[in-house]
Amino acid sequence: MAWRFERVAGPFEGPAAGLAWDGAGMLFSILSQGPRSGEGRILRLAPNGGDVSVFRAFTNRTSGIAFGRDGALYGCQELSRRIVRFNPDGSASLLATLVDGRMHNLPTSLALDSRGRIWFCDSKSPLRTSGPLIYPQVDFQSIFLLERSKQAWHLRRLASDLDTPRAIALSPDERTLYVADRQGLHAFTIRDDALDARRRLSERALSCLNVRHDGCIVACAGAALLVLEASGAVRETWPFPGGESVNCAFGGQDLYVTTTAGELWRGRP
Amino acid sequence: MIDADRAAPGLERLIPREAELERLHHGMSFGEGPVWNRRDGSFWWVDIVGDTIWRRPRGGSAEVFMRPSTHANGLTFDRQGRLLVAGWASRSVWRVEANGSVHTLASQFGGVKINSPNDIVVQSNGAVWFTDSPGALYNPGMEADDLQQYLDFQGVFRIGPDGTLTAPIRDTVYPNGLAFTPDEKTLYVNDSRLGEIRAYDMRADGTCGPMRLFHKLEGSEPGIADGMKVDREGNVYCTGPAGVHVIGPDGKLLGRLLVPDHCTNMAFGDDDWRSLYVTTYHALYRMRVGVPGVEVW
Repeated sequence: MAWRFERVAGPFEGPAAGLAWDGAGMLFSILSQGPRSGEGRILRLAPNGGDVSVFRAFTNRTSGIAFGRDGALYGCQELSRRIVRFNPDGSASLLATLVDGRMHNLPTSLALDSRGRIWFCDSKSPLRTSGPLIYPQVDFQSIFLLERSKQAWHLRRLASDLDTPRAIALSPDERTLYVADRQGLHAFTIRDDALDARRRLSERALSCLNVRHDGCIVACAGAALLVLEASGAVRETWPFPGGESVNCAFGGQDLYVTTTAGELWRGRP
Repeated sequence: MIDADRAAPGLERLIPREAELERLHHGMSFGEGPVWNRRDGSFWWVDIVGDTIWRRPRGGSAEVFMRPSTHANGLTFDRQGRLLVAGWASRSVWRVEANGSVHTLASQFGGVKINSPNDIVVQSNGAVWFTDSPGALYNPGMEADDLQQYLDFQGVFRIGPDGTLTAPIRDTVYPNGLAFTPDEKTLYVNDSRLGEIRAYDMRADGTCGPMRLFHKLEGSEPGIADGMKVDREGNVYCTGPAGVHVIGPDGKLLGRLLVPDHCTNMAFGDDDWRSLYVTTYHALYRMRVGVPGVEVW
């Protein structure tokens, strides 16, 4: 499939990162530098008029974002080392950050399943942390699962031995978890709410994973977008004219791509 | 004997070479908010992460005054002797009345929540000044219930004698410690993010003149601009890399007191105001100094 790409927003003052479609508009996060700009914000593009509005300011470098079935937006707040819930009333809530008395490191990407659980990848990072480190951080790079029971969120470690994981996605049947790290693309079988067998599908370094309804994976690889079979085989390569891509997501029939240059691009078939 | 980098001979008179750092209490997770109560000779401080306001009666040992405490941070007393609290995770400033009840003094500005009050000081006319850093919104491990910042600045607020809340200073990034000069003509505000102390001239109407850079903190050791106090001669005591930095009224460094553990704040106390109490993450210390501090009401 050939796509015609055009820049639809930006450049903004910092890299563009996460994407989330709210059913009528595309949300995208900006990782602005510096506290005066709140270390970033989440913007919303209204596709019809092309207007860009501020969905949420002062996001403290929130990168990956995704909607839950509860209608709330969840995000990876990198400088605060946590997943937060951006509540519909404009407030923001903490979930859970500690495992055995230690904090996880820096989350970049998350995936929500049909049960409202949050799968996210977590890696070490030279980025500063807001404020002092009250609790020691875990010394591994992992996949974590956030689950809610009654009113409390609980954090569970699922896998480690990853090399700076930065993207995560679930298969449509939620039986496979895809993770991209510096070693390539990995697939984990989900069994009894835990990660079982691990397969390495590709050695390509990918910055984003987006699973289509047909089970294929659309992934960002610098100045190209790849369509991978569930086996990891490359089915299609789409040149991307907007520079280095960060993230991609479908909104309606369109494909949206964020870039390190702080831009949002839209592809149409 | 306390170790010190003595950058200038003037430090000797302020911090005698024989000064000893005496540990009074330990076991906190994040000590802060030290203040001396002149009325009964008690000393007060907080453990932010431990969610406790501590009190040490004259001649006694530490006891819990309030737990939970909304993860209270800065403490001071007003002219009526009531405890004022920079409420951090409560996103408000509150006062403890004589009967023990709590009265909120400030929680919103322009119709939205303020950030997370950090430290607090009372002027002789009764006005209350507090820094409103966003720490409880962003710092992991010491969070407010609502993590969202609504204000588009991180500044210094003033609660006037009539209760009116204004924001005289809006150009700071992470305002933290604050203290008046002895004549109250200047307000010093330090900025943790920028690592500097700023000076603002006071106007009679409760507003401030433009910012002047008073001092840039030196050192690469752990430690940031956090708590800050002034003595009666106008010398400034500010936490920073390695411990407490002592700065002359001209803005020049006199020396640094090398405090074990991560230093968070300090307060003058004892009946002659010639003891410097120092909080660290885990402990409360006291040392005798040469010049009394500016008194707390």
